[in-house]
Amino acid sequence: MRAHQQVGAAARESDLPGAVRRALRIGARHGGVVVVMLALGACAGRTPAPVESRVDVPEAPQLPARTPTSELAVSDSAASETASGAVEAAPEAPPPEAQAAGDATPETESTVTRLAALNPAIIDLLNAASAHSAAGRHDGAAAALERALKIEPADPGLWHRLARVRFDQGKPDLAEALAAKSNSLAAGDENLQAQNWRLIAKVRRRLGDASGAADAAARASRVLD
Amino acid sequence: MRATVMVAVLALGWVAWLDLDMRAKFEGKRWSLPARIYARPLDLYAGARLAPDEFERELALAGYHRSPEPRRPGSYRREDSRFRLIAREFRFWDGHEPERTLELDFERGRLVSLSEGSRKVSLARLDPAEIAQIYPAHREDRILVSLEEVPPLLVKGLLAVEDREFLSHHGISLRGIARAAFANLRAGGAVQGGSTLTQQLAKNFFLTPERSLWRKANEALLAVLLEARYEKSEILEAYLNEVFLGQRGRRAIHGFGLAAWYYYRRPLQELRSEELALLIGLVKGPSFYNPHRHPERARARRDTVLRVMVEQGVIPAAEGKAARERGLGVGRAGGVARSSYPAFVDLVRRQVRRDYDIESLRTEGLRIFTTLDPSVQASAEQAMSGQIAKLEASRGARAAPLQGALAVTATGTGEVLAVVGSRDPDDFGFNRALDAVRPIGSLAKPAVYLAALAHPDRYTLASPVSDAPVRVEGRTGKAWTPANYDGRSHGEVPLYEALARSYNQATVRIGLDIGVDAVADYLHRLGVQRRIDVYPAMMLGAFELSPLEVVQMYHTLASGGFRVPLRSIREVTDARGRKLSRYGVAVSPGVAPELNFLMVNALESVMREGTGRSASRRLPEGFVSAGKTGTTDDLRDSWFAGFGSDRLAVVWLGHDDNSPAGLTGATGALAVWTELMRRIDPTPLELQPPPGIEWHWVDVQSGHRTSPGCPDARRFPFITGSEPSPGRCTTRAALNERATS
Repeated sequence: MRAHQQVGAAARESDLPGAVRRALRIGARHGGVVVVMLALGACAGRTPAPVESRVDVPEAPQLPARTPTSELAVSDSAASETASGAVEAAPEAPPPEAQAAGDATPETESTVTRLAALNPAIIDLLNAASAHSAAGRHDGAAAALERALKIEPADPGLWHRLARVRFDQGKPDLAEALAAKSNSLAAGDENLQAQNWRLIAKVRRRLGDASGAADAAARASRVLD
Repeated sequence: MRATVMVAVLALGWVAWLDLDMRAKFEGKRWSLPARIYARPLDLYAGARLAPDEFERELALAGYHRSPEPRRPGSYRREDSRFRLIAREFRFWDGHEPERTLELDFERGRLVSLSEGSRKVSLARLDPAEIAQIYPAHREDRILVSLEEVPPLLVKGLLAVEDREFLSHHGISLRGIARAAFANLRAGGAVQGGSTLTQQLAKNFFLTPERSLWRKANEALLAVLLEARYEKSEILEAYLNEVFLGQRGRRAIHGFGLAAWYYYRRPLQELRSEELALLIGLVKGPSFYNPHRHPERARARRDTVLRVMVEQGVIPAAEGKAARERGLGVGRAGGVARSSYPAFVDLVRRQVRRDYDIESLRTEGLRIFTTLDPSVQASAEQAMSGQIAKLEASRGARAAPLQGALAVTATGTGEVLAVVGSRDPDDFGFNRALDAVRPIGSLAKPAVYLAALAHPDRYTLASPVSDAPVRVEGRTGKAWTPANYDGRSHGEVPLYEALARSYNQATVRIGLDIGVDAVADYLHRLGVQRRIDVYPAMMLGAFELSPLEVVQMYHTLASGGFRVPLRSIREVTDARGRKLSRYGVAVSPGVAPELNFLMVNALESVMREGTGRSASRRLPEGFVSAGKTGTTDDLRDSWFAGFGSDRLAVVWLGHDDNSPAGLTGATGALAVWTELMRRIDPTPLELQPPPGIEWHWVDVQSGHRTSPGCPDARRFPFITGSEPSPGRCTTRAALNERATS
């Protein structure tokens, strides 16, 4: 795993696709006949994955992915979640308590449920997002919220949730833009506007912009007047 | 004696070399797995806008089969607008879709109910259609299968037909050869081969297709070495994935996994005995028994295999008989998912190649999950080719054929849903949606008006502006005198109308007043990344963009002023479905939401009463939209960019050689856009004003605030505080309203 680190965060997950290649290389090095089984198993999808063997690989994996350039879009490659966890997560049946755990601000839920009440698919996706968030799988949460946004692109509550996920994920700039996006759709929902401004204030504090943060906090209280 | 020793040493050396070579190849052999590109998975939920025919097309594309009594996964039954569907299991990186039987009900273009047995299902995700692959240079393709997932019937049948002693022999089988010879003699032709599976693998795996005794001997030797080195299960598995089973164009079909998809459009696990029998039969000669070209030969071969399977006790006699009575059941040639959508796939390749090197794409079996919406894509292709044919018929003969490009996105998330790069959607050549870089004409105008409206103290939608002739002295001493399309001046008009009717003179006057640099700034705020020369003619779009760049620009307007980079890929996973990269919705501030709202309001006027009004007759009733026409000098380029609430589309029409096409934005591109919107039936534009917007009635003649019911009264949105002062006319209704509020 040593050379691994040089490649940077983006590479950490990128080593996965080389499973086939790696399996073959392991096999070749140990002269064992496990090679074909490993290779096939790695590709077949049903056999238990030889993921554990990664630990034993003493050389840098050959990476198909270069450090993703996020020029075109947000690239989530650098997220710290584990791939196996992501695969196991079932959006169909998240634990109900995960919702509360994933989102500490009750006001958000009220905003969101107002719209979600119209569409059980959105409730499903919000629950899935909460379950992912609770397990620290920010990407999974973002993916679920983006699926919901495909269904309801003008729902300010969904944009707000996405902003919080991105904030938790350490993407403050994006979080601020998403909160502003949520605000632009939230006319008439002062609670949500205030939450967005509070989130923007948090972002700015984190980025060291004290006066910007104060300004945002002031706007949060002003919309509630 | 010495000679004998020499020969022995040489022979041993040869064997050692073969052994070394074989091990290097067998162990180093890494099957090149092409990257597989998928359409977006279809989300199913009650309330989804989806017509039953559209749904059925999606099913066909995803390899689902219609059947009166669906039993296997991947099959469905349809009765008018009711479907019963056995959905396939699929492991998405972020969740698992189980195999399950779903009941679906459609009504008036919507999915109204979705259930599994008696239980309502709130959300299901269909396994996505594979739309293309990225191949290695030698064009081999395969879908790897592991021994555990291969149907036992396939293995038993294969051994019964090809190599009965497989489990006991050591690479070559004299008994097998003798029995095959006898069987062939009795049948009066070759019905069985004498080579063991191991020999066949050696042949397929290692050697060139030359036929000679020397080669036969080497094959046999290699077979023995393979058997000495590896387990039977490994050899069998390698064989199942390596054996050559057909040719599709330039692509070789290797292994049973891909063959199942190629001939039956199903995963291997779903095949029935007669289907497996055909695949087993093909081992003997994929081109001789090609079921597409020689169905009778293929069928006879299949039936022979079925008979052997019965003889050898692999299947009961009754099943063999029933299976022999069934048709071949292979679809048309080229049954693997349509490897088309060249323009969209081109975009995907360009995006994925920023992050992945080509070798990995060709060999690692990566899975690329895209944003392609097959239904929207089909509508886009039909709208483009249909309207081009009509336009050509009406405009008469021209030297150059009319060409076109079109791209559709979901607004808000920036997902590219469809790309058409040519009038012929299967054209793999010049991708005009990405590479036809043309002057955009009046499509640039929103930047001028945004720059003006950004000063609410000076400009509002209702501000009177002059459309008098204008003359700009150039630095070279040559003057520029832009004229209106109709050649007339329209005096003083409200600002929104100057945009709606696309008056050039008024636009240039406003732009000169506000400053050309400010206009360029707004072009960039809207997402134009290309460097633009800042000079007055730029305000009328005398600079070049590709259709996709225009999509990016108008997407900002359609998304409340927020810039969202367009995406054609959602995520890339490895061959087992583990996430490598995800491309999420990125948002950055572009144009202030209030300002953007004013602009979209003006672009609605374009469709209602301006240059886009001709669309209203053909658009779905009640479909509110916003858009802008664009026409360049001498009618060389015909543009239209427009959006409803959830879909944005940009259309370009013109000639490849840049000669005049004889079409304005309204007579050309708008017709394609309108036809597209008619087909995809998008949600009407229904913009929520952002905080900071107020509505007021204005007398469009005087520009003063007025009341509903007064002459020339019209309601406009204003950035709070920018509304004009009240004029003289007030109605009783307005006074009452004022009294009660």
